[in-house]
Amino acid sequence: MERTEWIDMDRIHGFRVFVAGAGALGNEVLKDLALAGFRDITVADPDTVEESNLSRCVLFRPGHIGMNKAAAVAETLPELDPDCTLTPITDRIQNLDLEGYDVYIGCLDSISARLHLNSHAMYYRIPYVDGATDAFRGKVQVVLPDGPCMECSMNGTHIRELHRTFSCIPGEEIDPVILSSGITTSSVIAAICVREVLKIACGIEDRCVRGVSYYDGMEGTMDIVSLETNPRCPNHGESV
Amino acid sequence: MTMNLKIRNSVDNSVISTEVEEGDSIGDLLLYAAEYWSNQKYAMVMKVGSRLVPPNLSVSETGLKDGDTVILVPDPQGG
Repeated sequence: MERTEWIDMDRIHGFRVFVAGAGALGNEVLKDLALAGFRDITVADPDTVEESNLSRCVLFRPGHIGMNKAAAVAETLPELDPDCTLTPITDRIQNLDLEGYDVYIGCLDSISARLHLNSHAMYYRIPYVDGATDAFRGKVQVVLPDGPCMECSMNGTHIRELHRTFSCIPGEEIDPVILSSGITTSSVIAAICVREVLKIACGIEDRCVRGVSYYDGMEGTMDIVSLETNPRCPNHGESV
Repeated sequence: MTMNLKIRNSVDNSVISTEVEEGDSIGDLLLYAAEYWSNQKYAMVMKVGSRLVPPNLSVSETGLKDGDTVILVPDPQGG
């Protein structure tokens, strides 16, 4: 890492990272953050570890079943870097004070939670890197204070699914698109998220992905789609 | 003024044609497509070329022309 010209390990060590969600994607993101040298990480997740999580979550152990996910990852992440401080929060992000971080990373499973984090990112002017997956597809969006936000592109289909939980655990409803997340998809999306956070931490956010990166694991393609600030978005117009 | 647009569903590459008014919004078009492919119950976005189109723009504001194709893309929300 230190041999890469723009990497600044001092900035990375001191960067205050907030990770929302410690599910399949959150586990991969936390692993990559620790291995990349981030040492001040807070993770929030109100859910508990289930047996089916173990096959896709690198930081969970059989002994964690029934334990809060954030608390579980706080036990195992220091195995990767003993100098990494991981602060677990066992509450929902809606109940938290989200001020005082240098970046947010969204590893969430609902549109309403994403909108909550997005609005705080815009209000506090904190960069927000959001990752999302389904079975074989994923996306990464980097929200910077002066650029388009997640809400800029949302539409009626997002409102329809606003409070639905897109869990990493398979449910009764089997849909080939929103099938439970696969570990390979989570790994790809997590790696892109952490790469974008590295750019922000090292002061080259101007080189972050513009718009939204859509990954299609079946086709093996990555499509970067541009996104404009929507003047009618509540986070941008005259009301802000 | 009306025009004909094609909507391609990127999940299965199926295509439908629809007649729209220039003043219709992209959001209306999205909901129409979502209703047509009603078995696909997840959030979707609409892409024109390599650009995501804001839902409250009108068809004419996006620069779409008669015969153009817009692409419907699933917008993952899991984690």
